[in-house]
Amino acid sequence: MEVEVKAEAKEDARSTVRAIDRDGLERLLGLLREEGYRTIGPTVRDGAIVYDEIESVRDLPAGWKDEQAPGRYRLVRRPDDALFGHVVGPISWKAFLFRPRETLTAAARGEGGALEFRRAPFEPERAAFIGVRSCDLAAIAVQDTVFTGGPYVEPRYAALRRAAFIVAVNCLESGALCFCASMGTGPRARRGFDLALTEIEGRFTVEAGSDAGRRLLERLGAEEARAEDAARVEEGTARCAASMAKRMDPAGLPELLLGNLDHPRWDEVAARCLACANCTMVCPTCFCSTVEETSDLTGSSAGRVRVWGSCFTEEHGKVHGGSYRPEIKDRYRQWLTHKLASWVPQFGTSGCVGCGRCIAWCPVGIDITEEVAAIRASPGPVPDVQGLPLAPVPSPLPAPRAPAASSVEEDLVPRPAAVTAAVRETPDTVTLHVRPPQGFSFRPGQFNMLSLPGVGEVPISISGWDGTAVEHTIRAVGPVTRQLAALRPGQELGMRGPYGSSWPVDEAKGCPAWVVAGGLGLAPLRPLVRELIGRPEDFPEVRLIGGSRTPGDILFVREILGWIGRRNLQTHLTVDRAGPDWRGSIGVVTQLLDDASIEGVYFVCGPEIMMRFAVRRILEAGVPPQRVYVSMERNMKCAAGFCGCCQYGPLFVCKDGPVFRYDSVAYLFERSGF
Amino acid sequence: MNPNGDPDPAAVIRELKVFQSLGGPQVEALAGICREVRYPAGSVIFREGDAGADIYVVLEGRVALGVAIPGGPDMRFLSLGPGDFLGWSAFLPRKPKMSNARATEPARLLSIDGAKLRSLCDQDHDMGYRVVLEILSAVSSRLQATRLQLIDMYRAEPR
Amino acid sequence: MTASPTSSSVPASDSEAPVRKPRLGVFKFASCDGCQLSLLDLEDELLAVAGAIDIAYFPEARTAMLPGPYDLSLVEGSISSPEQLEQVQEVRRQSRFLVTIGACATAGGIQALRNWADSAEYLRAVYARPEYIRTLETSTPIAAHVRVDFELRGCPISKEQLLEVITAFAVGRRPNVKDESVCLECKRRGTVCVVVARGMPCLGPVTHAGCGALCPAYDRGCYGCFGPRERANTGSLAGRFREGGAGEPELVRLFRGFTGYAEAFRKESEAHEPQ
Repeated sequence: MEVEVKAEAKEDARSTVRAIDRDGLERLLGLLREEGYRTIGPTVRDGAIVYDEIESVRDLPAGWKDEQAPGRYRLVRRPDDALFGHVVGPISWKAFLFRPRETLTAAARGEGGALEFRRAPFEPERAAFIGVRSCDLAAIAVQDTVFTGGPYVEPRYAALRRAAFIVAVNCLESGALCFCASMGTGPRARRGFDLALTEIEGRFTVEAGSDAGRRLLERLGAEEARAEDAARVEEGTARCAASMAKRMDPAGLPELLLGNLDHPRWDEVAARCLACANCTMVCPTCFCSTVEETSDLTGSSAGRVRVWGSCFTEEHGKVHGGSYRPEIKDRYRQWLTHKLASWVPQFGTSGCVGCGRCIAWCPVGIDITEEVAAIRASPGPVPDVQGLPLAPVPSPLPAPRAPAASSVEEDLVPRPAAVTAAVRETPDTVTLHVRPPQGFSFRPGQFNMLSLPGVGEVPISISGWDGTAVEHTIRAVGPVTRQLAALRPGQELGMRGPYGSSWPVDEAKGCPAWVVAGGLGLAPLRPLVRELIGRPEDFPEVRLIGGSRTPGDILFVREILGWIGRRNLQTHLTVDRAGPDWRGSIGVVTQLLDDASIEGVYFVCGPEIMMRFAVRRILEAGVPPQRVYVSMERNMKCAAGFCGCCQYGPLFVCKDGPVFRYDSVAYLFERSGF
Repeated sequence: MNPNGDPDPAAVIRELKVFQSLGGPQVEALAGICREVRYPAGSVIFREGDAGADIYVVLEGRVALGVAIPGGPDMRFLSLGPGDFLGWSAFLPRKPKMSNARATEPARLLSIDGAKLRSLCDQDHDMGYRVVLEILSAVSSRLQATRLQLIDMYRAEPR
Repeated sequence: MTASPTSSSVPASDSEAPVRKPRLGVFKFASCDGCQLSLLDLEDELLAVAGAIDIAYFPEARTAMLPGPYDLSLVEGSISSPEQLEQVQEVRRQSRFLVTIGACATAGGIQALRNWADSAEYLRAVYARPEYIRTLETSTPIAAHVRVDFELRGCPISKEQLLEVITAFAVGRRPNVKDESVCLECKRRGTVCVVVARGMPCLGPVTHAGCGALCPAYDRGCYGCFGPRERANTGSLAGRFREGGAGEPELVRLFRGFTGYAEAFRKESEAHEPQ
């Protein structure tokens, strides 16, 4: 990817330093437009300096300065007419790369009802960003990692990013809320740009940071900069760094914040926080999104639109049955711990670049640096961060990460797939057999995203493979699952997947394998049981423990009865309550774990509350937490780590999970608000 | 086995995990107030509201506890198997049975006279402490289970 | 909310005999009619709506009134008179899925200002013959009287959101009507915050989205027409405005607008009244 090429090419580029005046800058803008770039830069609108299309140097905010304080932003006149004599405003460059609204999919129902899904038309506009500050270069690098640095590459972001030309501007004056120097992200732009400008007394030094930048500089034909100009760039940015009053100490933040999840400061800040989401909207690295379903009145044509979301909304943590982050305290803590702590294991850097936007644009002026300082000033007594999957040391300046060799493009567009059979399991639960659109293989524990155009998309775990079709066991609880569960053979749905981690079957080789299921939790465990009992030489002792609310809620009854007599399987089913006809065990599923084997490997899936009590019982029996696996559920919109909704502490349930080894989630498992 | 074929109660008691902590003389004393009883499948062992003189330990088979729901069949909420206490409330004075107990499989139970057990424990506090600890452990696990049933953990389920 | 899917909503590739179109009823209590008129205002989409649903009761639009029951009822207006107390029960009985529309139906409307005053005195001041007027002491939202399946906020409601609610009902999806702050709408459209950049009082951070952040885009603070959003931290916002120089009477007026009787706004305005 070109993103990486830029990162490589910049070091040797320092020599190409030119000097231009305002006319030269005008020519530069003209050349960029000539090359087909839309030029976007700072301009004054509605009392602020925003990034918008600029046609000429005249559109730049000459002579304006932004005075900033927590919850306050005012434009004031400068004594000079500097073009870049301001810092950052309410809009960040993400608005042009990870755009606020992006249509993902268009779906239509064709002749005979056949489904058709298309990736929505997408024109990657070539945009030149004029005046990108060092903090924002770092922010772009952070979002590069989020959208292109993991197992999945988001093609829309990647295309816009590849098409962008970046003209950075070095900061010689610090804003009152800037703290890039302490975060190691500025004020000197060192990499990640095509060209970098420094405005000194009405003239600009220009340095190239990429081949594209060098080519443009050649075309510009500007004079070489004098040695003292280059020196003034270093001096000026160094003076700016030294003058920066605000700071945040990034050292040890992951441990500090994740070790103080019960700190009283969270309650104090929650009393002030409006949960209005402004901080996440103005943050140049925040990347959460949600999806809107659209359709015409008949549902014959439909679409899915991605819009900026926020962990401060209730929807972000919502699944059927409730919200994982109901309180403002939960949401603020989620945001801050994600930004400054969880981000490090997720992406190798802090999520904060020190731009100060969240402080200025918080209507009540909550200051992220003060919140951190307050917790640092009185950390809780025993920061217990054992088992945290933290990276050793976060690098101060985020370097764009190369996508993994195995990374694949994930455009989030489903493919039509036909239902071959629909088997009713219980009054509200159906197993759909779905013929996958193309070659399909999965591992037990993974899930698919199933969708109906205009209705919605939901993650559904894979409950088996019947030889020609994937099985999905669906409980009709919401609008999407209700309609999925009503599908009949021959009808189509949208499918993409499989996603996520799987049960590590072979960890149980030669050990007693305990499969512990609660309710619908048996669905993702069924393919595991099938594999375990099909390999008796590897798994001589399999125990299936299943709990349900009532006998009528037990899934896969016929298949379970068919397993009777398997020499390597013992099955124990229990129900919470029963009528007189039920001869089996009555009582909660945890009571069947009293004789949990200390040598066993445990695969647990069910409602979170059931897993909590089941795991506690298993651990009480002396089983080490490394031998226990659980499958988690959170809100999921994309399944590829882009939307941010399924985060569970530093983990993404969609791509790191849903199956986790218990010790990696233990410190959050008995805690609410995550 | 004694000459007439019935198992020796003391031997039966020694086999039970719940009485493992009792000393020899304590087991002998307990054996003196026990008898073995058998219930065919489907038969009632006790009913809600019964004066409830006896405490049981299940030796074989299964027993279901339930409560009568007016206008419907019993709602059963717990089943017990070998080694489990049954009817522990008889250990408390003047406490009637709180649920219906019915054998769901042919059941063999050790039946202990509650009043006599209490007076044994009164005389021998060491024994009383051990017995109460076992009953407390059973009651605690049932309280925990009842809480989970109260939470109705399958209500909000993962998809 | 979850719009219950109608029988026709399940996508069918082998669709059978045509299914009955859902029947719509539009009802009005104490209100200005503005919200139900948004339905007629749909213009371009109105034919499509009429094609997908059967408009069985809509006094503003058609003369023939078909009797209930209705699959979907849109209810405008607040409960303000003794007759309405009974009528609303009947509407509920006749409605499978009842959606209240607008600030009057969801929060009591501007007429709920009388809930803080002596309504008899109002009557004497306004009407020449107050003895002809039969009214309740208070104006209250529909949900205070009957079960409501979904509330569509706004004064007036947005016609796009109304179309979305009807479409979602017809297709069987959750309507895309987000309970989140107006701030998200401002930021998604690139509007500069009037609180931060201009020091204006604005209820956006505590107000339910849906208008598309109309007022801030015209350099005004949000008036809270869509009512409080979930977890509206009105106390903190009021504190901010007080620091900015707002006096207690101004704070009372700020929160006591078109949706002033909605709980979060009502409590906040009452907290700033003279003791």
